[in-house]
Amino acid sequence: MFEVTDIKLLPNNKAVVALSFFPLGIAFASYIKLQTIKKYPQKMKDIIISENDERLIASKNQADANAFRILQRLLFFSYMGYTLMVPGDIFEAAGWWLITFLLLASLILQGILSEKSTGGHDSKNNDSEDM
Amino acid sequence: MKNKKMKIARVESDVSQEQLAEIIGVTRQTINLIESGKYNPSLKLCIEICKALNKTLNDLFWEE
Repeated sequence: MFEVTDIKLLPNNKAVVALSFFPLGIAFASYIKLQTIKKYPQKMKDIIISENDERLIASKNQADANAFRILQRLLFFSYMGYTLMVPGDIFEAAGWWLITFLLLASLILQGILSEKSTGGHDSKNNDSEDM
Repeated sequence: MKNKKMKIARVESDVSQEQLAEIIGVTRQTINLIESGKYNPSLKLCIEICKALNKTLNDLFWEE
C-alpha cells in the first residue's frame, strides 16, 4: 500500500533533523532559563510575579490574540491568492486542501472557544440560586 | 480617575509601591497604574490591596 501511494514509513535523515530543530530550540531555551534561575535565585521571584500579575497576564493574552488574528488574516489572504492564481489546484492539490482545512479550522475553533468563554446564552446553563 | 484614597492609605501605612507590590504579588508598575487610574484592578486584586493596607473596599475604591 505504501509503495502504491509512494509514502515512506521512515522519513529520511534530513526530515528528522529539520523536525528536531523546534523541540531542541525549546529545550535549549528552557535550559538557559533554569541556569539563569540557578545563578540568580532572586530572579525566580520576578518570574513568579510576572506569571501571576493579572495585568501582565491580560496583556500577554491580548498579544496572543493579536498574533492569532494576524496569522488568521495571513492564512486567509494566502488561501485567496492561491485559489485565484492557481485554479488548477482547487480540490486537487494537497497544499490547497491543507490551507483550506487550516483556515476553516481556525474559524471554527475561534467560534467554539469564544462561545465557550462567554458561557453561551442558554438559560439552562445558569446556576440556580439557593434560596 | 486617580485613586488618591489608595495612595493616601499606602503612605499612611508607610509602605512604598514596591513593598505593597511585593506583599500582594504583583509588579510595582501595576500598583502605580492602579493609583494613577490607568488600570482597573479585578475585585480579587482590590480585596488583596485592602487586606494589605488594612482598609475596606469602601475606604479605597468607592467613588464619592
